[in-house]
Amino acid sequence: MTNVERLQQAGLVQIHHPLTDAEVQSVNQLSAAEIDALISVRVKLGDDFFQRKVQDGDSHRMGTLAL
Amino acid sequence: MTTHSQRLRETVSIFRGRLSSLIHDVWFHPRLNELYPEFLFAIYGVTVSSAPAMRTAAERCSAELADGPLAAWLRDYYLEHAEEEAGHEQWLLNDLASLGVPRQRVLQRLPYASVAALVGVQYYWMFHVHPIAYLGYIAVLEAPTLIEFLEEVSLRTGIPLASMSCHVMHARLDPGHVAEFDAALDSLPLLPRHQDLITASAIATIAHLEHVFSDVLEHFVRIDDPASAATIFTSPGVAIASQSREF
Repeated sequence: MTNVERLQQAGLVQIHHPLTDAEVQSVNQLSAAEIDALISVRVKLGDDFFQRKVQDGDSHRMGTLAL
Repeated sequence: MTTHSQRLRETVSIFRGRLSSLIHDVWFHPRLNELYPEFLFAIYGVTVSSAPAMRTAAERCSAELADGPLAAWLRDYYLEHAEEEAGHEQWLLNDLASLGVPRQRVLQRLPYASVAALVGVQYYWMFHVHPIAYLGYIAVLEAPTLIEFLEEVSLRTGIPLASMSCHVMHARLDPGHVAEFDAALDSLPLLPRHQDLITASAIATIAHLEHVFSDVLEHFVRIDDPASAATIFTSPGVAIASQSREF
């Protein structure tokens, strides 16, 4: 089972959602422990993200918090 | 070949979509002018913990790790950054005071439980796994808001830039921090388990930050409930100024 399939099975990636090739490649490069961590904290990559996705530029401009 | 930092940034980028949406909802909230102090209070809870957490991580490097190059580098990095971050919570206290929230009220109020969870998980990892975990936390949080964006927010909301000094100072001081962090990470002799832990820490940080920003938005909603409103920090002065401009 690939990493993407594990995330789909855990409900973190919607099966009908079209992951880009680059995203698939990045996710499949993660280790089993890293995928376990994603599943453990339930960080979703799914409908909510894709329906309300903030453009990368906006995300960069807003930042996060800054230390 | 993909570097450690590229791999980490790609992972964070893919999985921070919901967090970015929540951050967007805070910055573009129609009542941000009134509720910006509540946002600052959440940030205060995080900021006040940064220098002490880094000092603790440095102590854990000294106490637990063999005296190798990784331990030495981590210890120095955490100590240097703890020095840089020390006192930044004062910017937030000053900003809040300028918006009508006295520092005593800030100090007396219980921080969000989501903030405690965000920071607390890092203590678990640094004490019970490895202090390198804190690099994952830094990788997600060390992303200052751009000054142009802050100027737009100020124009849109009426919040004076002078009351956004924490954001402004980070925007001015930190733009090189991300590149420095990435270069440093790529220079480290990381084992696969270090990489796993840094990623796990970054992912947990995203998840907990989602809770923090959800809490901020929840407080924004509860402002209309008289019972809840008593504890929520607002800035009526800014609201009045902003509303008067609209007429």
